[in-house]
Amino acid sequence: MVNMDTIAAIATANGSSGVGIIRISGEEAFPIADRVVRLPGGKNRLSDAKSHTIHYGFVCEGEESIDEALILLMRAPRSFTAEDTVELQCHGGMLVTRRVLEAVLRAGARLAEPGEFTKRAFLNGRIDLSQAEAVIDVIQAKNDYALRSSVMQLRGKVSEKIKEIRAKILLELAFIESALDDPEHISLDGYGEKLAEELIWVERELSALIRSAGNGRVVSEGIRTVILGKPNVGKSSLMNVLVGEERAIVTDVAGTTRDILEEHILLGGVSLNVMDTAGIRSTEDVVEKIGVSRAMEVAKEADLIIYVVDSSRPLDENDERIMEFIHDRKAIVLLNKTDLEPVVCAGEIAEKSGHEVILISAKEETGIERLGEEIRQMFFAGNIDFNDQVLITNVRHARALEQAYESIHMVEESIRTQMSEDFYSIDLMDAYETLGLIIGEAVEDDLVNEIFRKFCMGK
Amino acid sequence: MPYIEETYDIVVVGAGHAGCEAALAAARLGFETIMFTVSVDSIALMPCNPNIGGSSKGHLVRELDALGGEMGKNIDKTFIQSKMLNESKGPAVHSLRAQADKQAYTASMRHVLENTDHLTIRQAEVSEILTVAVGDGQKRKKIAGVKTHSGAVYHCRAVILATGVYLCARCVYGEVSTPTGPNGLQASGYLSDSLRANGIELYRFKTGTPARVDRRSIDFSKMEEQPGDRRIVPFSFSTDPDSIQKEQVSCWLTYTNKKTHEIIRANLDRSPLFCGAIEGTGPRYCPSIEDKVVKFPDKERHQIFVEPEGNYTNEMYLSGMSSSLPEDVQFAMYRTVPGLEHVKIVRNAYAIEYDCINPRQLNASLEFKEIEGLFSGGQFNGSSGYEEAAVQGFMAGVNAVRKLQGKDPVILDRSQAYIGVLIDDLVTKENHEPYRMMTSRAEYRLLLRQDNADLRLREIGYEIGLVTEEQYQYVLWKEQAIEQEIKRLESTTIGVNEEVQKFLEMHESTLLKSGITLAELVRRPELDYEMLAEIDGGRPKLPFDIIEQVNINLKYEGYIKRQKKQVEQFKKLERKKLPHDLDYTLVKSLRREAVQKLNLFKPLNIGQASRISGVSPADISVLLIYLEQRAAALKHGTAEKPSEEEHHV
Repeated sequence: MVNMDTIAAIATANGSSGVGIIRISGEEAFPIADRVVRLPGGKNRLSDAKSHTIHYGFVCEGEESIDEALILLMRAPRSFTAEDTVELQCHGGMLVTRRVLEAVLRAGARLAEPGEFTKRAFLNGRIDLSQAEAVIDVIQAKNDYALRSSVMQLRGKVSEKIKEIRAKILLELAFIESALDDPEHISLDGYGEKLAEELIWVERELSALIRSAGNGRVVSEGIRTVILGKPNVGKSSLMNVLVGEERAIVTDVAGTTRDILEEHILLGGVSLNVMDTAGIRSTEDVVEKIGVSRAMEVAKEADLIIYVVDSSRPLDENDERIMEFIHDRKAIVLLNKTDLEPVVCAGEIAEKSGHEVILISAKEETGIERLGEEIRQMFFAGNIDFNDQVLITNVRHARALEQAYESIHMVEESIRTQMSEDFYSIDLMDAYETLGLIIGEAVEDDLVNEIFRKFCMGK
Repeated sequence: MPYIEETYDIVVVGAGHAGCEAALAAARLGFETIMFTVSVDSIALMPCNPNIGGSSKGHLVRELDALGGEMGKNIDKTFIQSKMLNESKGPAVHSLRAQADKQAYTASMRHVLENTDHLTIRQAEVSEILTVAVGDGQKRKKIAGVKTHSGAVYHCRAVILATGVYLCARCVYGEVSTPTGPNGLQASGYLSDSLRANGIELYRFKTGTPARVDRRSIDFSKMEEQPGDRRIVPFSFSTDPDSIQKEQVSCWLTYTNKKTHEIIRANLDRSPLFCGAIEGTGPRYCPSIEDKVVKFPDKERHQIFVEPEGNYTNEMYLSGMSSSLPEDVQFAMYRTVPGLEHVKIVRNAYAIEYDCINPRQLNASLEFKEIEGLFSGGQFNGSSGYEEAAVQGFMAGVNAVRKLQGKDPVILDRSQAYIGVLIDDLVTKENHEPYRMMTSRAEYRLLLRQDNADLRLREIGYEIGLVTEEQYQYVLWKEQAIEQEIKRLESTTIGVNEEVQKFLEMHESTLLKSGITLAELVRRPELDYEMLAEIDGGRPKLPFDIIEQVNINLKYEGYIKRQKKQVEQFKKLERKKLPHDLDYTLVKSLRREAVQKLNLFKPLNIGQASRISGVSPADISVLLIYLEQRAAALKHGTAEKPSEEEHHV
């Protein structure tokens, strides 16, 4: 948080950039760079090189080379942060840049907090006092955004799983602690073996999460896109066309889509994370209005809204609400079912919604290309704010999961080497805290509360 | 007009465990001190459990002793059984607990107090604190003295409130409710109003105690005997262990059963805890037996420790069965317990309700933020337990003195002592029940061991003036001796020879392939320093306390290093001081919740601020930058007044 340890982060915006820069700053920047960079011909170490020089080499993880890179060296205080700084310029591309960052983190750097480079620059006297308030705003804003994106975009199942693992760890912690606190009432005899068994499950669950984090599935990368529209206007059919397979159950009966569908698709070369909100409304007792309201609630957090209108049915009050809703938002309007007799006029919709209208037929799969082209244009014109924190969030989460896994492993090590039980709690607590970071929960008095909730204490 | 007026440096209100330590510290430092109590016969009374110490509480007593407090010495003089808890666990959670002879404990402490220079003991009820406004401010006040119920006025420069559970106290069991403190002692009925009038926010807390029963009515053959340790470890670092080895008295273990629980359930509607007659918040860690039965319905039995109250009484304490059930139910439930079938109650179990403060109103020095010179300690601050009370009383006493000396207060942080954890928790966390120390509350507990309290705190006690030159010199020597011996072990290599291999084989330890240092051998889980004597010919003769430190430091080196690193990070934040008069509404970009909390708690430093719930890491960043900005602005401000040195910079 306010540590002056060595930090690293991706310094370039994600997405279209051709070069990906990873910046490392702090006392350990050079040694860390030495650990991940292999210079051709087994030349000298970067630590021995002069300040403000550029080198050519390969970023490696173990024996494997991840990418070739130009390495910029800047020694303190002649750098932005006034600390030793190394910049690794790679070939870009989200995947490679992320892997390089991960390698740097494994080599001992900590992932920078949002705005932390700027903060250090300020604290080290590199930024003028008059800019201080701006710095504060940047940090606060970036934090808000990072917090929102890291917690909000966490996939529901991941979040649930982490909560489940944490609950398990907390229970074990509370048991150890209550026994230490009240040894005459609660015995720890044979507890090590029992805990070791419980930890097998924790380890397995954490490994599964780490694997999925590797695939970028802890949080969804891509432009958060929500499809809005009244029931049975063809949202699910559109989804199917976009995804290219029959995923949603599509019938002519309104409200047959039951689950929230979330799909990762590539359209016009842009990565979209599409949510079909149709399933949000519950199935039977539904007043249509409620369903639409709830969908709009979800759409508030979206980067892009796709509004689907059925051209064969007249506009109603729900459409009016949606059009008003999307008026000042990033949105694309699709007039669907153009294969049927139209009763709705595209001009009217364009005027009311403030967006251009694209005619499509999901059934006939016409107009989809234009949709792709429109998204592509919006993206490259910078009209859609791509959430570049998502990528970072994934790295952060992956790192936290790995750390938690390491902590659990250390508990097992303590059990194996017959350390006494109070040593287990040191690493269990570390794992608990680290996992809490992912779902945005602080520790506070969790442990003490759990002790009293679950175990009957003395006197 | 008051008919008596006297002037003292320091007034201590209350003579319990907090009051005693506060008064002793102040008087021993040479300040004229008067201690008020409602009953001189009840000085250092132990109205609840008959023991001192226990898990984490034992740590507090040792720390207090290292700083120059009295509790450790007093229990060493008056214990009747001693036990080191958690001996099979790691050194961080070893905890000493001693059964006290309650009467002897009280008498011995009273003897010490009565023979301390500069200390006056007075039996009277303090009914008012006297304050004067400071400057032109409406809010800030300064203490001027106290007034007793009989009308006497005592002027002073500092007051330490240590009223324990006596403020508007009410004892309750069943339908019986009496407006008294413990044991029918007179409660303080007036002081609460005076505190409120001075803007102090009060809480109502509750606690309870089990019945005392006649030893002759107990059948011990149905219980398990719980003897003391064979080798007794003293609490005080200045007590010679050999001088306190003695015959000990046993405690006894028995259990409740289904029948007991049935009786309790059948009578819950008559329990003031459940029918709403008690409004105070009780502690979760020492629940009444009715609480336990309700909250843990699956537990078929609960332990009861039957503990002697002293050598010259037949009263026994039924630990684990505190209650506020009616008298007839108490008899019925106790008599279902094996060994207690014919038990005779001497004193009923009861719950007690009392006024205490919201400790958020205190600085970490235990001085009230808004009333200069007013300090407080003990259960009055919302804590619970004799040991928690004693350490706060001591710190309040020391800091009241330092205030009068014009010195900075002594504030122990979370990496220095359990005392630091306790006080920091009290003043920075929302506290909704009587606070009890627990080892799990200490983040750095591997460093805060009971065995090294002297190494951690003697120096501070010496600086305060309550540790003698001789005691201080011993610790310095001890530190050096530990370091030397560790160095020797690290640098002495044991070669592979038959004697060594045989020794290792005997202890089921891996045989050597090449030479190894003695330190490496100590680190092996199956070996320790003392065992290695056989193959370590060159070892010096060292006292046990040094051997213990050498052993722990080597064996747990990895963990200790990790915690020390965490402490370094922690210290960085603790060193960044926040101005106490800072109005956080003026700090741009702080979240609203953070502003509210920060203005409420007024943390001393960034570290403390970061522990307040509702203050986020981003808020901390904002505060850090704000501090830099402020420092730079101040520097800029002084630069405008040209000074010689500045021009050369």
